Amino acid sequence: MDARQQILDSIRRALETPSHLPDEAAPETLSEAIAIPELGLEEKIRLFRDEMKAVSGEYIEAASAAEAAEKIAALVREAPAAEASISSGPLVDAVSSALSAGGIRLVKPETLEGDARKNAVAKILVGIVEAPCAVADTATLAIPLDGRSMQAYFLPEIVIALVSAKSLVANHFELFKRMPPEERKNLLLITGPSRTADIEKILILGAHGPRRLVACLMRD
Amino acid sequence: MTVIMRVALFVPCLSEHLYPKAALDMVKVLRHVGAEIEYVEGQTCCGQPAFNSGYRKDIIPVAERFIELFSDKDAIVAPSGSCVAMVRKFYFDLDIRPALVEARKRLAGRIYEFTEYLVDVMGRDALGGSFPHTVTYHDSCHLNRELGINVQPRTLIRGIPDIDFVEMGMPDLCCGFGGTFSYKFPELSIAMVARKCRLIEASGAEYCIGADSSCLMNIEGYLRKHGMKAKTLHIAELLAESLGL
Amino acid sequence: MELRASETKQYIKKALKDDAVRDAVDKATQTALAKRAEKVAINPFWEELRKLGHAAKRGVVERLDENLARFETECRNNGMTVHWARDAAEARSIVLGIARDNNVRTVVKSKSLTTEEIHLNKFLINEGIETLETDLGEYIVQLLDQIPSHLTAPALHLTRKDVGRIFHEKLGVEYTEVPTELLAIARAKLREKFLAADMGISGVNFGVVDSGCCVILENECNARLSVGVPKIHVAVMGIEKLVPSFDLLPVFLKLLPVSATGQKQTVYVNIVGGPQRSRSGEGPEQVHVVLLDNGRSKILADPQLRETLFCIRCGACLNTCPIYQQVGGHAYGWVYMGPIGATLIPQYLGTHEGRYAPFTSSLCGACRQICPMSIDIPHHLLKLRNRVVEAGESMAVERAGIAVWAFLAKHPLLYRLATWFPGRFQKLLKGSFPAPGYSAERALGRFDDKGFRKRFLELEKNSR
Repeated sequence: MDARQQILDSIRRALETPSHLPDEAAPETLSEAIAIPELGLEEKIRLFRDEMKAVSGEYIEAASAAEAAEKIAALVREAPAAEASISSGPLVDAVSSALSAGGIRLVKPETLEGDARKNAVAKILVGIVEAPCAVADTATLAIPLDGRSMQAYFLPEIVIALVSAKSLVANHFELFKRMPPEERKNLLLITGPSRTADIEKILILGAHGPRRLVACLMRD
Repeated sequence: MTVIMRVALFVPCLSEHLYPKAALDMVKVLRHVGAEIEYVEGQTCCGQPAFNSGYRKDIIPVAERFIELFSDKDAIVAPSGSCVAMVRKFYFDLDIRPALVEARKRLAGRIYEFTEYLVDVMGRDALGGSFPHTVTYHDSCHLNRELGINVQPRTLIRGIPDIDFVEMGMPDLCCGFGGTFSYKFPELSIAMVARKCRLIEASGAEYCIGADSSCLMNIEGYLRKHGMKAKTLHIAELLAESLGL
Repeated sequence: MELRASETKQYIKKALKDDAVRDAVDKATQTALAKRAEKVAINPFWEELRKLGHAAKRGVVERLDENLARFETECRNNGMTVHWARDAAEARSIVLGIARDNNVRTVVKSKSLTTEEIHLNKFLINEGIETLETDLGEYIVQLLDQIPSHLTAPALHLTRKDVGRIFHEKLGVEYTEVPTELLAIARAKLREKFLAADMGISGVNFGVVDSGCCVILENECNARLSVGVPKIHVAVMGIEKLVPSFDLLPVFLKLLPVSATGQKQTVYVNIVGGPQRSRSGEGPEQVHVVLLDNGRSKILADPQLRETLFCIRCGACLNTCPIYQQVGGHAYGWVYMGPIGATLIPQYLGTHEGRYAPFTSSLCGACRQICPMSIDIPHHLLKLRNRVVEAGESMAVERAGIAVWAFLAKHPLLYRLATWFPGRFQKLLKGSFPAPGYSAERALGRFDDKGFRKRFLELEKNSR
């Protein structure tokens, strides 16, 4: 008999004895815990900002693409860096020409193939990316792996992520509810810069991924 | 109208043979608050040590005897949370005679730990009296986590007007006794009681109050051997002492 | 270094003498507990989430056959390859087969207890495939040839000085004990490996039944780099790791990080539902899921103990356990340690090898109180103690003693007679009876010469 059949058979045999556990409340009766709170836009922004800071992320805001580009350019220069890898999507597209005009060399991973791509992105200090959706409750950026290059999200030391205020959802329950089933199947959720506390529980930012994560909230 | 509460005593092994004073003081306090006391002849052990060691078959007849002895009583009270937990919860893990299944259920609903009985059943919290000392309270694990009793003993302690009650750090940390655990892993058990005793000492209390003689024996044994100044006192002894009984 | 669960008594004694380890473990567990408590305190729905988690897991486990079949179908629909492994050897050879088929020479691994359980690293290394742990803690213990001492913090038993020495000796770098410098050393070493590796191996925290995807939580980005860079991703998953749906996934995404590290959310949640390379030009072109039984279906057969399969490996029960706090994880002698490990050891390894594990507990119940899945660990330990006894694995002396005791307990007069002696003899002694082991550092209580019953009857007589 093959392994699959044998495992499933032994599970079926095992389950012939009913559980000893007492009957429990069905999950539906505990709906308050999984409810999606009604939050206004400003509330969501405030929550997102506070939570971002709580997870050692940084937070900036921009009222327009031009303002965002200006602030991001300043961050890249401070890094200090003259170049950045840049992901794809409408938010980064809106700032990329202004960044180039500001003298920052932009490397688009999609224009490179295979090994050349990862090796190039890994050498660049700053990544400029966007999150199509973000969770206010935990300051989590949600990025579907929808065919875009993901390397700029985790190979650079400093990642600047553009987030549209309109895309904020209250919590993870809302996130998965709103997201098309095909998109949520391949998804990266990022909450703050990478970290470790494996040595004496001392928190150090910048483990194998970014040391800094800056969220740039776009209000328009 | 005074309702007379009739209480059947269940005196666990440790109280019977090593710490009879705690059980006697429990009798005095229960009488003081108006209960009528009955001692059920022929009682031995609830079977917990053997059960905890894994010997379920051996204790089935012991448990059956216990159920037969006590199940027609209205209220059974014991000065120990772990023995009450044994009867109230773990008896249900035993394949006893079908004829006793109903009696087991009835018994589980009528057996009480001492402080639980005083506070929850008799509705007594502040008994008054006097005990002008600094005390702290150790949460016995079975009492606290199997029976959920942690407020009742504190309520009774605070009910003594002139007592100075301080919480130690981690009052619900296990003292390391664990019945047979203490001789199966003596070094580990000692390391655990050492930690508990350091916390008691750090609280500055003169007395560590507890509601289970087993934990108190463990704690007292370490305190005494290491010349630490705190003393242990069963909560029944504390209440009897404060009321001058 | 091969540990054995049957040697736990020796390990415990040894651990109790190692003050450095005890200190490190105590500090680390207290830190983790404090952080967890902070996050629990601000979540008004914590208890509800626990109930939801338990109910959801129960739903999955009690219909595990259907759920696995559904999960398999969904994974296949997503373009993943699903393998079934009855035991550790089968799982290892499946992984090796995938590696051989693809000429894999280097593997990067993200932290996975399931792969520790099947000793995958050593096996692959012996087969000539370079296999590197990439989680910092795992990397450190791999360099030392140890197993993790904690479910979520593998190097919890080591100090920064230890790590400095290990890196100096094994990697040939200059000694430093500055944590940021130590991390930088590991990061630089591993970054090269990530970029060059042919295959990434991960565990799975949650397999989402209705969508056929694997959810992997982490903080360091090493899992991301392991599953998102190499051309092949192999996910090794215990068959119990399923959760029903995306609707309920957030319950687990909340319960696990808070319980494990006191984080509201881990930095990365990798949701893998199929190969990506053809779409994005990067990441895996093959995703393999290895479904591992290795004793789990046997655990399922016990209607009470199957609750131990609800465990999400957060490690909170270790942190809160007064025994783990004293001796750390290696004392248990297996990859699953602490209170939950004590339930798993005899179930996976059998009642002979695991005969001591269920007794490494004072049954204090702190584990059940903290468990995000509300697993009744002490109750399960009690049942397993019974199993050890029934299997004839307890000591003959103890068995005989219990038989005598049980006989006496049924005969009150004999019982009274037997218990009368210690009280008499006690009178001859100034102190209390010596008890082997027990009274080394503490006195046993003194037997009363009369006993309660007699004193009570006297009290009655006098008051009349």
